[in-house]
Amino acid sequence: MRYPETIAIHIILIIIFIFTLIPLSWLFLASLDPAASSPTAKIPTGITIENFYRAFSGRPLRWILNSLLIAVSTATLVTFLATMAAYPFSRMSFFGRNFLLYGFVFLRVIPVSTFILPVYLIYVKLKLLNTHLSVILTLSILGIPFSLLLLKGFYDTIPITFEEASWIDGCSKWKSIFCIVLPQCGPGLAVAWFMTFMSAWGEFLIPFILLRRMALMPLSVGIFTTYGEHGVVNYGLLSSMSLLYAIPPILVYFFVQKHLVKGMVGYIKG
Amino acid sequence: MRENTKLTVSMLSPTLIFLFFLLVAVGWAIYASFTDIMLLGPTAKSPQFIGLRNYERLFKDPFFFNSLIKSVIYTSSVVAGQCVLGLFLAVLMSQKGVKIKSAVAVAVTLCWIIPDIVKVYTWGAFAHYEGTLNSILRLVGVSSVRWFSEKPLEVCIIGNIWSGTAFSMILFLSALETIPPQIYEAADIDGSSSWQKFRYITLPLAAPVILVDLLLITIWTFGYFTFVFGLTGGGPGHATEIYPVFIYNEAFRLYKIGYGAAVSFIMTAIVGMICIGYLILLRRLEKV
Repeated sequence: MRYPETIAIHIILIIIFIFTLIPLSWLFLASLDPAASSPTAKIPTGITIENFYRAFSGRPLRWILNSLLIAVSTATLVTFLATMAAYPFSRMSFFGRNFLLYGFVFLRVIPVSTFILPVYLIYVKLKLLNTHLSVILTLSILGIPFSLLLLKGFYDTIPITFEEASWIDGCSKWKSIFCIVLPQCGPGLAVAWFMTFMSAWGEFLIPFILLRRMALMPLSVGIFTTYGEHGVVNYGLLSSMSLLYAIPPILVYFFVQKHLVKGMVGYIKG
Repeated sequence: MRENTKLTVSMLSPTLIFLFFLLVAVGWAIYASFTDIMLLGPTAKSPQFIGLRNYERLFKDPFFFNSLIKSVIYTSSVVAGQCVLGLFLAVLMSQKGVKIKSAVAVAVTLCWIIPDIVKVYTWGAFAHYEGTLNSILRLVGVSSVRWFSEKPLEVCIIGNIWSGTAFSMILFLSALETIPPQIYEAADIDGSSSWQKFRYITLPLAAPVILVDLLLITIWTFGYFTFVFGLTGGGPGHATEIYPVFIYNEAFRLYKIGYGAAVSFIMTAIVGMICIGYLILLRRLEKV
């Protein structure tokens, strides 16, 4: 590699790096600023954790807990369902297998906004509007395809000979799944759980449509509602809420990163 | 054999029940799109069957065509921007001797993994009249611009490129890693320039991944509601009313559920066509 070219590449990358981080650095500075009153990035005059304290009390705390409840229930439900459903897709051949599998890829790819009205109408009929259950169910339906394809990929890497050996020794199919297959795909289960958690945690559209009561909202809808609520925008509180809201996905992402890229490439290939 | 069937059925059925629920919902909405059902008022309880009138109205609705045009402009600009920038970054970062690769990757990825509403809030503040963007421009000597009333669609497009490029970048980075370095070494010996290496080695070998990336981000950007809705709500006027925002406004602001359902189905049809194209392309790629 020629020397001037390397320098040019570094300069371009540094410029992109700075421009990418400017909006985010404002978020960080404003959350610590005791007098954050404008959306301009500036070095705060003092540092305070007052904003975070307020984000952890009263209504914002309620929203954080709602987000947590929705995300944890969705992730657990989806992982449970996908663990079971992925097994036949990996091991058995049955009528309509490929059709269903392509159906799941299709479901994974189409945007949520095409579903939202049908789903809303059915909850009106079922009288389930304004319940966390409706949000959890909807997010689960939308989350199943990704986990299912991911876990199918994990099952595929486990040699079937282990199970065959256990069957010969008189092990039932169910027992071989619990004692032989599942212990080997711990990482797969973890990735599926965390990825579903991440997307359910950050979801805005579905709770925004299905939950209309302040006390039930997750943090995403809460931040949206707080913005400009009393005419004056409270940038300090909003920034600290946003920052708190962003931390779990960031942690999860860097925790499962390697698996994620594999999973992503995996489901693109079908 | 019977044991296998039992096992398959019992493991699949919970998931299929969930899918069935979705199908029922879609079926109910198809029915609703043929009625004059409203969210509130007298027709909320006893909707009348009005046949294809919702669909007829749709083709006479100037705001429907407005939203289609805005969506096409928005989606094509965002997709082109994300794909080109993603490829550019991936190629730069995979050069030998680049030291800050992981720092740039982390920064770009951060903007992508934070929740949608945080992206909206951060970008909204950045492009605000009193925001950081204008104060940077003032340093260079440009007077402040009211971005959200003067250039609303452009602000949304650039914001979405800022927050979404990471997906393409990560995908291309892993694709470039699979290209054997020997090919580049051979090109070096033949004395080819960086551009020639990119044009005749990288581009053809990464072409399948680029196509997949284009299709995926097209579908996702076309249906991406939160970003534009959070920034502008479709306004000012109807200037940024892209397709998903149009559906929301019709169904939940104007309470025209039946009409909104009809509009949703046209959208599903458009997305479905893109998806079919995607599946056909995948088949072809697998054969090669």
